[in-house]
Amino acid sequence: MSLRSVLLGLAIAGLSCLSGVSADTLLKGTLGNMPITMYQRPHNEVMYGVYFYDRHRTPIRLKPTFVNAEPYYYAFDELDSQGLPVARLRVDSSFYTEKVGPNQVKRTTAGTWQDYRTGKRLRMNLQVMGMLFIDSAEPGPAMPALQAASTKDHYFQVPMTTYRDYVKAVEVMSKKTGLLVQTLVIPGCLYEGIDTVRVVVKQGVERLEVGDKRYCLSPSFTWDAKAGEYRVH
Amino acid sequence: MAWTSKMLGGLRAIPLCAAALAGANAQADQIYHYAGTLGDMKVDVVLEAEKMDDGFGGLLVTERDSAPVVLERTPYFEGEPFLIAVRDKTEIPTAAVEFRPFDQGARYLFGRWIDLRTREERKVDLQLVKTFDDGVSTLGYEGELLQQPISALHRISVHTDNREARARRDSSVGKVDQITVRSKSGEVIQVIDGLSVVFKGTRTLEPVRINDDHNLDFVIRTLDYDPATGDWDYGKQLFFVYQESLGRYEPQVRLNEWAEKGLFYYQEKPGHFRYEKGSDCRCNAPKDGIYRVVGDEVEPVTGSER
Repeated sequence: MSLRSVLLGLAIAGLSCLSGVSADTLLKGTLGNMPITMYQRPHNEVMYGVYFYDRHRTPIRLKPTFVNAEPYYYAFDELDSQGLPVARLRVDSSFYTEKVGPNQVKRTTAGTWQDYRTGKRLRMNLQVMGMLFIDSAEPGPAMPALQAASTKDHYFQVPMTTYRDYVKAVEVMSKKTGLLVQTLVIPGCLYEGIDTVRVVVKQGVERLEVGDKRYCLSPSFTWDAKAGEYRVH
Repeated sequence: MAWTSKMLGGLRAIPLCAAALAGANAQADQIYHYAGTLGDMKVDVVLEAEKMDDGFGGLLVTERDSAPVVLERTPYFEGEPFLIAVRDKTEIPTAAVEFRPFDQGARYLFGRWIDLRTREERKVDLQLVKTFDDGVSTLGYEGELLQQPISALHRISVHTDNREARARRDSSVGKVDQITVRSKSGEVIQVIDGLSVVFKGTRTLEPVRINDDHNLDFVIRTLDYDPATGDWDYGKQLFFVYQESLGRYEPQVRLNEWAEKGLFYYQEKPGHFRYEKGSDCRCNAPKDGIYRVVGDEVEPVTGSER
């Protein structure tokens, strides 16, 4: 029996708590009135996070926090371009589950976003759209793992079937439309959560790099404006 | 075990310095005590790494603060600047301190303090005063360590002494022998000494709310040496309640007795606790029920007051 099946069973049984589960989670919902997409990844007792406003689709990196730093929620800081905190996000660490069909549950969570300067606070309501476990992805077969790095026009996601699987592809997504622009084939690299894909500038050229170079044979990619796609560098 | 509690009003402050030990009973792996300046103020910073965590929490206190503020437990990534948020009993952090660069145990730390509301920045320069870790430096187990804030009016620190443990060739055991309560100005207002208490880093004093006032109280646990086995063991709980009229923390002998017998349970309502006789209790015990501390006395709470 897979971990997913166990969790699904618990959820169907009406148990609402999935906190502490080691699973990457893709969430969608609203921050105030603005639709957002968020990705959370627990790893070695640290929770990593990234989110974007669906209107702009520019990933905003959240400062990593200890999973157990607070008893009931994850306390993330949203950082500005200088790396300084601009807002505190509190995301409840438990999910509420609701049976919505045979073998189907809806999981939701909530939180707050508070601006450090003004104190203005907005409500977050989020629904789980996917979870990535050690042996499966839900709803499957693969879940798009949102990446923190982005370029002016594109953001990236990595389709994963389990969080132990190798990265075999990177999906280049349009910030403007949210649609898939290109799928880059990768020769099997270790999954590194929201930092699997990196955007680096070398000799004035913006490059896309995937995985840890010590263990990964993936080439770098550069954007070919004429062709409208990434090419192997 | 005997202890004494003394009022030492009028004595001038011992400079806030030094930190403490980390031992077999400690929660912290390493504790680093830094002293230096934050803008034009003197500052003390304690960075505390907990077992299994690649990160730090801690305390910060300036010469203008009455009590230390808490540095949030924050993951640390080697080679990156370390930004740690400052909590001052507020819902969200009010400030942050960034060390750039940051190396665990560095002799000097440089960085900036940032007010998160106004973005005002101040320079932070720190120098390592003492390092404490498991068995590396036995001398490091003797010192004074600031405690997590229990009272907004006081700075409380514990003094550790492991000479006895070292004499028994068990240098990894940290024993707290004294608690010192200071006012905002640094004046020593109370010393509780003669203790043999388990050291738990900056959390040696566990905050509890025993009586129904606005002040937090604390509980500590004795550290007992068993000559038969040569081991140091956790002993009984010792409760101290802040008596506002006296301006000091007083031991609660009756609560300690009840706690030792396992007859004492907290209630959700602050200041109330449940006393329940054990099945084998042949002592001259009071009735089962809800009790509270009033002054030095423990008294039952009537039904209408619960």
